[in-house]
Amino acid sequence: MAWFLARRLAHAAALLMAVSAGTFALAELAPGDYFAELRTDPRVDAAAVETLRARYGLDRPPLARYGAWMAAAVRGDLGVSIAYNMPVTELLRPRLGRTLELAGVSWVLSWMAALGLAMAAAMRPGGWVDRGTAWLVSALLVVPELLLAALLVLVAARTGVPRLGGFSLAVAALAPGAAPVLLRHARAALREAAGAPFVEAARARGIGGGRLWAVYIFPAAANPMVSLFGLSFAGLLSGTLVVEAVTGWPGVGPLFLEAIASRDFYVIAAVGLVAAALLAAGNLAADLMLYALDPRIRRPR
Amino acid sequence: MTWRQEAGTLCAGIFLLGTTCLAAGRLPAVEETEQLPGVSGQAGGALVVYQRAEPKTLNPLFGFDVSSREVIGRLNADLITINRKTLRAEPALARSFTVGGGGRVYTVKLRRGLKFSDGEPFTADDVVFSFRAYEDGKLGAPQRDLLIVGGEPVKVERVDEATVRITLAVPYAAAERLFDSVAMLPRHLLERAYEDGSLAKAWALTAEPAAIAGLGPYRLKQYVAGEKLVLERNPHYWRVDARGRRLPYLDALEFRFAGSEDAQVLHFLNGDAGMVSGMGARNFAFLAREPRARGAQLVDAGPGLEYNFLFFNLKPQPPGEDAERSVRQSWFAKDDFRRAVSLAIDREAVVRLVYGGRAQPLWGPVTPADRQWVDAGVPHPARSIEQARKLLAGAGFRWSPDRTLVDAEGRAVEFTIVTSASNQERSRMATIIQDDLSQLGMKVQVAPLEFRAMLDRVMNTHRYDAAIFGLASGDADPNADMNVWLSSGGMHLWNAGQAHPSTDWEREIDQRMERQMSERDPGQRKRMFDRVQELLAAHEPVICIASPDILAAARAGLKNFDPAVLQPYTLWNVDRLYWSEGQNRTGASGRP
Repeated sequence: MAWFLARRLAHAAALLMAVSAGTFALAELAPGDYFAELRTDPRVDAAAVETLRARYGLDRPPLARYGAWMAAAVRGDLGVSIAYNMPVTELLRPRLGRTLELAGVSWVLSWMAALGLAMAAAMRPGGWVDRGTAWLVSALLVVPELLLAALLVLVAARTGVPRLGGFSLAVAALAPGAAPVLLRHARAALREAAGAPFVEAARARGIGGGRLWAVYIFPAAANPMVSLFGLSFAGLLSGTLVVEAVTGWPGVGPLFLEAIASRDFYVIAAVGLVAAALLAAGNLAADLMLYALDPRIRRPR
Repeated sequence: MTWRQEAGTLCAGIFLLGTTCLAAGRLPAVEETEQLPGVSGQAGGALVVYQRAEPKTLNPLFGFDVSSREVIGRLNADLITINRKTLRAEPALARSFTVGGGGRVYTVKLRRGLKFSDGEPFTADDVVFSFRAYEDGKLGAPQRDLLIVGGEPVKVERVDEATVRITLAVPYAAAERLFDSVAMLPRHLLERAYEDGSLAKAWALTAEPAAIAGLGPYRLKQYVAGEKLVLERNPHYWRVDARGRRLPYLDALEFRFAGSEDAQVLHFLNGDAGMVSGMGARNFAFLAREPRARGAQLVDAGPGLEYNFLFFNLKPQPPGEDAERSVRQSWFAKDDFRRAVSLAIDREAVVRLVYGGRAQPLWGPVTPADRQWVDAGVPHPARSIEQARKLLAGAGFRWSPDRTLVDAEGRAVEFTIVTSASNQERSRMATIIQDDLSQLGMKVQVAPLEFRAMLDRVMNTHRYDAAIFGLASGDADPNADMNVWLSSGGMHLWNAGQAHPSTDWEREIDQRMERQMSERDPGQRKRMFDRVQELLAAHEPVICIASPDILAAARAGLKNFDPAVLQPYTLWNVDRLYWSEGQNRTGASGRP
């Protein structure tokens, strides 16, 4: 277990390093910096802008800045936002809470909907529920979250329901985007488990109905779904950033987009790092659950 | 009590009061408020305003962005302010000011007995401290440049508790206008941070409300990250209405953050917001025809101070850098080439198609909103492709059989206009210009770039042919744009930072601008700046196109709503805004 955990943590650390370096490099490659706009104020002299750039270390080479930022990040200091002139951790904390709240509620709702519909569809393959969900999955898969969010904003603007900028609007835009993939995988896993020889044997012994599904089929189908558990949360988080910006939910999304547009380097790098850390945590949680559930993973090779 | 006893008691009282005041080293606390004649309304209620972006700081030294400035301006006040309607400088925290010493010495008398929003008195020491902070080179506040006159920071001295003397190194015309938006800071709260070098970090959004105090109509009550910023009425505000009641009328002012102009408008339409400002013509037209906005006050305040223009890159390329661009620059450098381009642009079409008619066509950088400084003598030539062709032919250009414009060496005239992709109006303007110039045989590509990427090209790398830009002066006075018109200026966009003026007309502009800056006779200044405008119109280094109208909307019951042409467009008179009787007095629910 310790070796398994150590290997996974090493993978996570490497991922965080790569993501942070990549994010920093991309932000650095984009032309201009935060103070470029200030230079367009005819009343502000170029020397004043240079003083401000120096205060935030923007006059230093990018590698030196990245090194200093990474060294501080290891100690939990994600730098200072140039725009807000305050520590990035202070800036992120309340917003990250809201983003996790939104992603968490949407995640639970999408799993509940996906599992319920997948069970109903898998119990009667080819039935009207199965056909209906297949149609729904196809429809939702081809509608990007961004478009769905924009359509819901339009409805909210026209009718006042759900409220513009409210939590329910953001959830309504986010959860349907995550559910179809889960539904499709859950249905496939349940169908596969339902056709397994041990299930046939159980049926032959007269076991049926709810007991067959709860005791035999569902545990057998759990394995692939557990793998999806962590990944789906991470996927939802990335969708959250865009949906928040469109629906006006005050999470990390609007801050991140604004930081990109204004070249607030340390906020961009910090959000990249936190998102990667959440992805790694989701994967690690899924790995640990699989380790606990599946004896084949525990067996030394 | 006999009359002798009464007189004795009175004398003792006066003696006691006098000695107490002397002991405290202060004058009696008579509050010299400013009474606003003609202003009368009802107190109470709140106003919700959706901003496009969240403010970044509450620190007046470092609030660069529009949202921060909008909030900071409601929390603080200046010695002298520019009246947003008349565009004239008026005393604010200053009761009066006199100018002496040949235009170099300003003696400013402060209103006595004023208090910061935390109840602490405002004195000359706060003024001296504020200027010390703004002028500190190590802090690097952008306002520092405004306060450097003749190469030296203005010198601010305390004369007595209610008087300061401000001395300039050289005479500077209308120097009083420099003090607009230089908020007075509370020394009692910020001096320690200044001394220990942490002033730049003070008054972040997360600061405790008790740690922030100002002289504006409101004070901080609550900040919820990413969501809202709530201000409450400053009980010590120094303005009163015609009936002597202390302003502001509204109990609270709540800023919420929408993320985009469209979202601002939708929140207004849904009844979440009491007003919306800085709208584009498209949204203004949408509100005008939207039944749910019926009854709302839709105000077109006319053209603002923003001027949108096309300019060509005349910055000499380093040797061997880009030979093809150097060829194109040889065309752009010809006055007749630029004049021909200007003549071919259909400004009326831009106004009609880009701004839905809510803009003014421009032939110079001073917009009609700046009534004091606009030069009526600047010609407004009608669009003429024929005239433009004549100018091009006179400058050595000709047309190939396929009607392409070519230069004397037979090279096709082809160039790219860069513009900001996030500014839809300017992108559409570029497309119209592209079409207009095709009628002269020019092949023009339009390259919408991300805003900062465009700035980088125009101001740093100079790898561009032509660009469409917009500038909105922070003041109506020409001194605010010195950096644009002086050939050595960093914002002399077409050829910034010249060691010596590269043309005779730029040399003359430099001379006129420098002279008007120190000229105290307004008539003389006007004549000098008129000449600058005429030189700009004659040589067209910037081809001015249009100035959009200032458009705003408010709910029907919001009184004294009077948008101005200078920022902040709608909240400049927030101390006078009030809800009429019978209206929902929150501004945060119900339809407009």
